[in-house]
Amino acid sequence: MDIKTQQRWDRAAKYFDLMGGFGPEKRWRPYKEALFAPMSGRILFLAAGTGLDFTHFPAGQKIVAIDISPEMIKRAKKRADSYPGQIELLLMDVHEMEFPDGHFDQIYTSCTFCSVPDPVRGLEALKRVIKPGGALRMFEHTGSRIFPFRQILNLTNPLWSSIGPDVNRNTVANVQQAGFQQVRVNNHFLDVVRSIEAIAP
Amino acid sequence: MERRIYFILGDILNLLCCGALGGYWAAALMVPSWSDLPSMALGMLLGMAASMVAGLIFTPLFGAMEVMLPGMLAGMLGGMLGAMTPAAAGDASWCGEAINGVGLGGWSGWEMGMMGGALVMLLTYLLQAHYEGRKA
Repeated sequence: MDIKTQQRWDRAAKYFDLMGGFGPEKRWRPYKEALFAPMSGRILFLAAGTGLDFTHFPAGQKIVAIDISPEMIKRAKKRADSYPGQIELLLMDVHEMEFPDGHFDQIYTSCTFCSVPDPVRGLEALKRVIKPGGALRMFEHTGSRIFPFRQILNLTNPLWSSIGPDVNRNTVANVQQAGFQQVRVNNHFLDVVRSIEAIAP
Repeated sequence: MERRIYFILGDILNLLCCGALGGYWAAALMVPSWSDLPSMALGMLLGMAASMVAGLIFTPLFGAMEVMLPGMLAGMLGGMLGAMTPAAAGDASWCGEAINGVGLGGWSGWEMGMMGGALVMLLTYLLQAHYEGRKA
């Protein structure tokens, strides 16, 4: 378990809902609902956070949701209990997942790979636990290719990463580097907030 | 492109505030005897700081990256424009006339900054119209 990352997100859990619970979630709701709509089969969701995403899930699914932070898990429990289906919450580091190979049909992430310390290794770990041909669907914010937003994100990244996520990662390239195939990207805000879909080889 | 009125109004409010605050701070803190270039660079930094303050208020209400990213650009542009007002005012007193409206073209620092914010709003929405839903 990456203790440094765990402690950072334990600290963030206290103000997570205050900063992200209303405006950002309301703004992203249509995109997340569209991304999560095809949920079926054995589903892994990471990282659960305080469970803000659970309200966007289609009803009636059996979902395993993991997070590295016990404080986040504690806060997510209430939302998991009120989900009209089944959400099993587990404390787990994406780099050290204990699931068997090819265990899941689908994997979903929401603003996760801006924070995973080693994103390519984390994505390779996802590739191990997903069935061949299984779908990886991600809602992520990434770095930008547009001037001057790219420069602003690069300039301010040290500040943001000290309190939370990196803001300038090339997550699409990381997904490809990890070996996923048929990577498709849908831009929601400039080329920063995006849905990324890929298939496990 | 964002079509929900709540978020459109939120974007307008955020960007005008970021620009105005950046412009005001820059106009207030610049020394008129400074040359344009260092004034503008420092104004941009002040504007970025101003946008972070505004971001703490507006992010929980209107969005994360949608608030922060254009907000920073608006703050930086506002700060840069605001920093030009004392320099353009020549011998105007440091945080006096430049703030109150004898700066560049008779505009005050915060008014210049607000115009910068409006410009960023236009730019962001045009870029968003271009990029939204684009497959890569």
